[in-house]
Amino acid sequence: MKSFGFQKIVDRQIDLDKADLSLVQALARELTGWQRCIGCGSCSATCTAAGMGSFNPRKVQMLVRMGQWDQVAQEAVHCQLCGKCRLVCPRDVDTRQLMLEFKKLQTISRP
Amino acid sequence: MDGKHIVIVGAGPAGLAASSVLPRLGYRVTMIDRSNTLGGHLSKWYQLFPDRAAATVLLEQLTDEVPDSVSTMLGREVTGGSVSSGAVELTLDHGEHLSANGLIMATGFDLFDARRKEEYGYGIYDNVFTQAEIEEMFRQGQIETRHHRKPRSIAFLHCVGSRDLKAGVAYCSKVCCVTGVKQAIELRELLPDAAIYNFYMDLRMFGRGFEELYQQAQERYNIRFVRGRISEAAESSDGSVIIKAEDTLTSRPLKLTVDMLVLLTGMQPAAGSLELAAKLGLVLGDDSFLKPYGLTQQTFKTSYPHVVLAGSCTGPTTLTEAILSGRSAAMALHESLFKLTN
Amino acid sequence: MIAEGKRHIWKDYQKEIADNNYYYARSCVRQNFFPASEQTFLRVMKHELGKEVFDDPLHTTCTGIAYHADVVNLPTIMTVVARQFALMTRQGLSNFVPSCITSFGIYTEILETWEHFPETLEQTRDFLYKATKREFKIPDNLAHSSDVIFKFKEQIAARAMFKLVNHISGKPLRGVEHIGCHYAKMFPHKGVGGAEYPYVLAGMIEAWGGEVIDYPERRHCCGFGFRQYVVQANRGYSLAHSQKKFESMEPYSPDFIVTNCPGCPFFLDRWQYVISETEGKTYGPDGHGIPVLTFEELTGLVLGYDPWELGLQAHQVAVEPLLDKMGITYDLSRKFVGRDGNKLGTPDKPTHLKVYGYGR
Ligand SMILES: Cc1cc2nc3c(=O)[nH]c(=O)nc-3n(C[C@H](O)[C@H](O)[C@H](O)COP(=O)(O)OP(=O)(O)OC[C@H]3O[C@@H](n4cnc5c(N)ncnc54)[C@H](O)[C@@H]3O)c2cc1C
Ligand code: SF4
Ligand code: SF4
Ligand code: SF4
Repeated sequence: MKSFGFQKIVDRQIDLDKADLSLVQALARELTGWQRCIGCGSCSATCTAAGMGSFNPRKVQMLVRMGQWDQVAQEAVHCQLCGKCRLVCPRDVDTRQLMLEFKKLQTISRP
Repeated sequence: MDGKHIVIVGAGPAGLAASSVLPRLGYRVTMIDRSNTLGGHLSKWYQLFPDRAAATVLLEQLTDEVPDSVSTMLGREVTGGSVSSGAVELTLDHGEHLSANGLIMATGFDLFDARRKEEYGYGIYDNVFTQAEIEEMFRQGQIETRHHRKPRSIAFLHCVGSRDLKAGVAYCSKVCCVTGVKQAIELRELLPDAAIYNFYMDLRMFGRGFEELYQQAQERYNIRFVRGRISEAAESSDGSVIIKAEDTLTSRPLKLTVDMLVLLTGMQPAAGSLELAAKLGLVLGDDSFLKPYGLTQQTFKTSYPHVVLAGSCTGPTTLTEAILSGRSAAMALHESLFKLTN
Repeated sequence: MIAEGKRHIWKDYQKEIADNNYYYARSCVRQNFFPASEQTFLRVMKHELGKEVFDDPLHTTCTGIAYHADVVNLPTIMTVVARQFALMTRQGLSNFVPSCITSFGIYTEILETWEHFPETLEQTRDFLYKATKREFKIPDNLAHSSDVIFKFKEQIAARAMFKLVNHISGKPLRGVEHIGCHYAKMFPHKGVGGAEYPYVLAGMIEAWGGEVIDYPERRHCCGFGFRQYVVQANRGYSLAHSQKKFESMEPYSPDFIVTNCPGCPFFLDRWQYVISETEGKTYGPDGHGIPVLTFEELTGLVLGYDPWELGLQAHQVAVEPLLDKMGITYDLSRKFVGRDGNKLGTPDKPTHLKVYGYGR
């Protein structure tokens, strides 16, 4: 391969036209309540696993809504299932349950 | 109207406004309030949003407009009663009875009990306050921590006991956003060097002059707005408060130590209003506030033609709305009593 | 800090705790870390308080760690839990007392799930029956072993040989309590005192004469975090969490840390050693660490049990400074002698952390 001394930049725009929203629909069949999230950040502020690395439960949820499942897969494994997120959420979202569900959906729905 | 008797429960801004209208239409009016002063919550505030008008001046205007013929019973609580066609019977706390031809419910709101949000430690940590306590400090002209020191840093937290399903409150309390911004500006004037933060989920600057106030807070008053809800507070060894939030705009968890944490608590139906409503056969909404006939039209009417609702007993209101609704409810009552007799 | 405010909240989180006839479910890992803690619980319950506790050799791990590390799935762990309940039922008992906080969290969550989704309960009954021919009753009462000690804390105080008081100055000893993430964070009403101001361990410290330290990172995880520890490469996360807590509690000069869960004391104890070796930093005065005790060990000390019978020699952070403050006498020459009289061997001497009875 010929080197020109630079590389093409990856386009980071979320392309909602092409995003895979089928898993979001599958999620909606499995669990309710997560649609209420207003992105207040309480869960990520209090999360045991956040802060030490890139894990951020609020952002994981937002990525799901945008159909960005590849990133979700990398992130959700960091959850320690401690339940602190659930304690502080003003919209009564069970984020802990969601993290469990994300992984289940990914193994079931994706070969 | 030829001496018909109307009772107004609550002498807050809404009750006061209603009581200034009815005597001039020929009614005999009794206004009852369980507190010993007139004005409801208005009597506790210092400067009003958005123009920082003095609360005392407005209160004086409202009370001045109440004709002398209105009999006011202060320090007396309406605890029960019944409504029948054309008549209202009320019971007061000392067992006394009152009969009337019409009733205006202007029982207002209570502030959310901040202790219920245990994670913020109100009533446990020394330097966690509510915005109502800050108003009181402004009235006294003295802002200081529980240890009588001048605060170097203060954080406001929006939506405490509002928009919080865990607290059983789904609604937005409407006035706390702008109150938080107003108080931040007032603090800045008293404390030129302090760091002042507002932690919010959404800033609801719906009224005239509100958004402009927000803009001034950013530009002229150097208030720092952080888009994230505080998830927990803790007390440090020197009595300052350590808070945790996420700065959702940079997606990073955040920790901050402040000398004072101010909780912008929401509005709840006034204590006892649930029981009173049940006794009078008035309907409550899902939010436990009194429910009027319509939410757009007929916002004062109940299922009884001679009982109307005024002010924040129907949900969070600004003073503007409370005063307007007090006057309008009085007129609505007049109209229906007029129809009933003619 | 306004103490009255906390009492106000504690009133709202009173939990029902059975007062006799318990089925005890041990922890899978605990006897390796803190060898005498569970035995001490049984000794206190039976010999001090005269209670009936059934210690069943047939029960297994709850598989909680495997569940949290994604090795075991929900239907499986439910069936395992159902089997423990079947063993309890078989003894004619109905008060289930797990020794582990993670188990307690698992049991609580599963009972809650069964209540809300009866079909999962039926399915579990079915799985258990097919696998083992066993049947079970749902316990009438589920309480963690610390809840039970909490319930009898006054009786224990009445029998105390030593108080959590500096025996020379007469001042209360200052303790940090750590209840563990799974005790009340998921179901605040299932924990004594709730999740924000848990009272289970604080109540013991108070009842036995000590003073509770409320420090800023009190709510933070000990650092176990299952996935963070189980994978060796992730242990740096675990260490960082524990250190966050140590840094936060250090200014309060705690005399001890008392813990609720099998995992927490392990990390809070061992990571102090790791931090001292890697950064030269210790969190107690002049090279000492902060002694970390399980709640049973603390109970045992208060009741005057011999420190070496309590297994305190298995701790990495020396507990002797605490014993000295409480006025407990101990024989260092017996520290590393086993109960059968054989030598246990001695650990390597740490570089910075002060230790007693070896390597001086
Ligand atoms: C911190 C804060 C600051 C605010 N600042 C502003 C501002 O700057 N500008 C603005 O426009 N709005 C402001 N508001 C909103 C304003 O306070 C309300 O809109 C207004 O007080 C509502 O008036 P009201 O008469 O409906 O109720 P209230 O003021 O609550 O008065 C109700 C009265 O009814 C009495 N009562 C209740 N039940 C009974 C009973 N059973 N028997 C007898 N008496 C009873 C109560 O004692 C009370 O006096 C603020 C609100 C808050 C919380
Ligand atoms: S706490 Fe709840 S509402 Fe807030 S970001 Fe997390 S899930 Fe969403
Ligand atoms: S359950 Fe997972 S996402 Fe929620 S606070 Fe704990 S580690 Fe974070
Ligand atoms: S007005 Fe603002 S602070 Fe008050 S409840 Fe609504 S969004 Fe929250």
